[in-house]
Amino acid sequence: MKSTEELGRVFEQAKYVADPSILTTVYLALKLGKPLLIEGEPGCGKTELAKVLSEAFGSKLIRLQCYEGLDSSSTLYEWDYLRQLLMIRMEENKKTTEQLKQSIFSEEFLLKRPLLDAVLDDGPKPPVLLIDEIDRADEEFEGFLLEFLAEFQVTIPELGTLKAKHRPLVVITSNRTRDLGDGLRRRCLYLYVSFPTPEKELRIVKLKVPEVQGRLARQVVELMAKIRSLDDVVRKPGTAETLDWVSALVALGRSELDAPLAEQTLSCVLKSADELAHLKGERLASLLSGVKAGAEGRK
Amino acid sequence: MSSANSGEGKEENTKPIEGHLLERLVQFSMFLRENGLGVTTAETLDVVESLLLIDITNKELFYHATRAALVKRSEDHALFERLFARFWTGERSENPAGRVTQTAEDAEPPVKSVNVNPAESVMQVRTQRIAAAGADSPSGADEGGNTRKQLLAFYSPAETLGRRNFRNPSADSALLKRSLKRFARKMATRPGRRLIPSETGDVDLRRTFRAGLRSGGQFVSLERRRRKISKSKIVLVCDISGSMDSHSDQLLQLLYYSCNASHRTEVFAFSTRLARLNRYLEGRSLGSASRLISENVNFWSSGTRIGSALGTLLAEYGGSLRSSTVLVIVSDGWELGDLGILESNLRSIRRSVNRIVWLNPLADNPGYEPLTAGMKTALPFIDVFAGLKIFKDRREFERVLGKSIAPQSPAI
Repeated sequence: MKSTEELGRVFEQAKYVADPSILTTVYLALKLGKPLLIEGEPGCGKTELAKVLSEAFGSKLIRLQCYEGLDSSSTLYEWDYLRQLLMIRMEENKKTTEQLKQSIFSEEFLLKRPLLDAVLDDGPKPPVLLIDEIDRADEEFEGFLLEFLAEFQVTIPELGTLKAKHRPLVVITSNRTRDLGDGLRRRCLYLYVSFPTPEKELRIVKLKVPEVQGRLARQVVELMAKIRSLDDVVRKPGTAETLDWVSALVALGRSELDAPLAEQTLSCVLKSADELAHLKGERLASLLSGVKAGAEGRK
Repeated sequence: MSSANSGEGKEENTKPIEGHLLERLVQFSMFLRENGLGVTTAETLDVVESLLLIDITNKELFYHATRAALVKRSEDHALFERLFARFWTGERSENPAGRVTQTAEDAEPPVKSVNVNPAESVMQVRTQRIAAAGADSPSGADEGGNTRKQLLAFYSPAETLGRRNFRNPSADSALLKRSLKRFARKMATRPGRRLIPSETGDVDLRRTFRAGLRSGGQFVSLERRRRKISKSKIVLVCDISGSMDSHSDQLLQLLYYSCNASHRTEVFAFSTRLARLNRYLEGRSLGSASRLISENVNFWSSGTRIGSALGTLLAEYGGSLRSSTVLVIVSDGWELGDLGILESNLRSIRRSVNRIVWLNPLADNPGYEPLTAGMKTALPFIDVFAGLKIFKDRREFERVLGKSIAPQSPAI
């Protein structure tokens, strides 16, 4: 990887539409070996970015999904007690205590969890470690993670300290349900992804759903922009929803969006009953006619 | 932003960054720090290292690289964009294309020049008020008509910027501290809807029978269950506009103790704009917190725009407004902005949070009635309306806020 242009080509091959801000930040994260902290609206490609990176470089993707109450035993390692017990039963007559100890506290009986997995990975290329939705985990975990990211090593009392062969590329995502600490922010390069512009979204749609007709794609994208700008839509739909919608329309064999069709399939985009009820009927029809009038005007 | 000009990069090569450019980068970091972006030395080192890796003659790359390394919060991006333009183009070139466009909505404080005397910069002891337009005019004068437009966007008749110092922030705070701790603790430990196995609580017949099967139909032990604790979150939004001035010491205490009572609390202050204050308050002493606030928050005693402040809250921090959130708004309801905006934003917030509590210092006066237009607009969306006195009377506190502590599914 020599330049941001080269990275751009890699992304293009992996069907990921990246703007200069994404390109520059990812490139620097790769080069400086720093973790990449991505914040932004749900469904705008934060997790996708990590997946694309691992795919593009042919390296392993190790994913740690965060949740409340996440602790070190579910992120680092656990001993496989059942198998250890079985082993003791089978071998207790043949071996001395010391020998048994040696055999049951070995890597064989270690259940690797994502962070240890990332440290022990011995593939030809550094793995991509995706720490997804870190805002869901507790603040204590954030502190623990800071330490881990600084050293990339794990100490297991029975085995000693294990150190990563090569530094994994760390991608941390957050949906901002909780504000992250300054410590973590300082150590990362920061990237914010918001809703794409209609032009960018159109490119994404055409890339991801190649069978879509140009006019339909444009209509959907412009209607999405309008829906997002409405005040009473609280959970703004992301690019993921746009893609769902376009795929649904393509599956129905349509090449143009009209009011009844939009209403029938609107549940691809809005996922709450009262928002759907608010938008259905005349409001949706008037938004759609606005989009169509805009298209006429351009011609 | 792409048009921001990196005049420095032109004559330098990609090899070691030294001399003039290095100096300018350090100055830039200081400039950002002066204007309220928390840039640390480690981050300055990062930016120097980053610039070695990219083609710094490309303005766009230069911009994005400095931003990724120096700014770690999306809400600071707009400010950074302005400061970047000011620092790298504003000081020397007359090129109007290099300037960022700006709309009236995101009017921000005038940026401070980097070469102010540190002794009299942020460490002011007195309350100072800076009229926005006045502070900005020296640099605006030499930049042509375009800047004047930008100046107008900064300026609003209602916006008088100011910092505030606090006389004796620790006086009579023990009771407040206790009340808020209690509130925060109750919020963090209220029983939710789901049931989980437990040592104590009601008998769980289903599990008791299942356990009974294991012992051949004999019920050896009674299994029990209780409600799962649902950890709620408090979001406190505090009005620090001019009309709230007489309460400012009390407000500071309120902000400070709520922030430190539990780490599930987020506190914001607003007047004509809104800022999150957790980073100045969390884990500090009250004294140093009040010093940091008076150094960093420069919109005390400005006008009130509750509606647009709540809009910012929704847009920037919408993630913290969830069905488990209790939103506490402290304001006297003298709205100077658009009431329609206030209403639509409150409606959106109403749908996302569990409870809205509105504390109005004026409500402590006997005979107060919520008649101001802002208050009238807000009332239909509010669950609990009370004065600030509740923090001084424990029984009153329980009576009023007890309602918001009780578990309930979010209202749609």
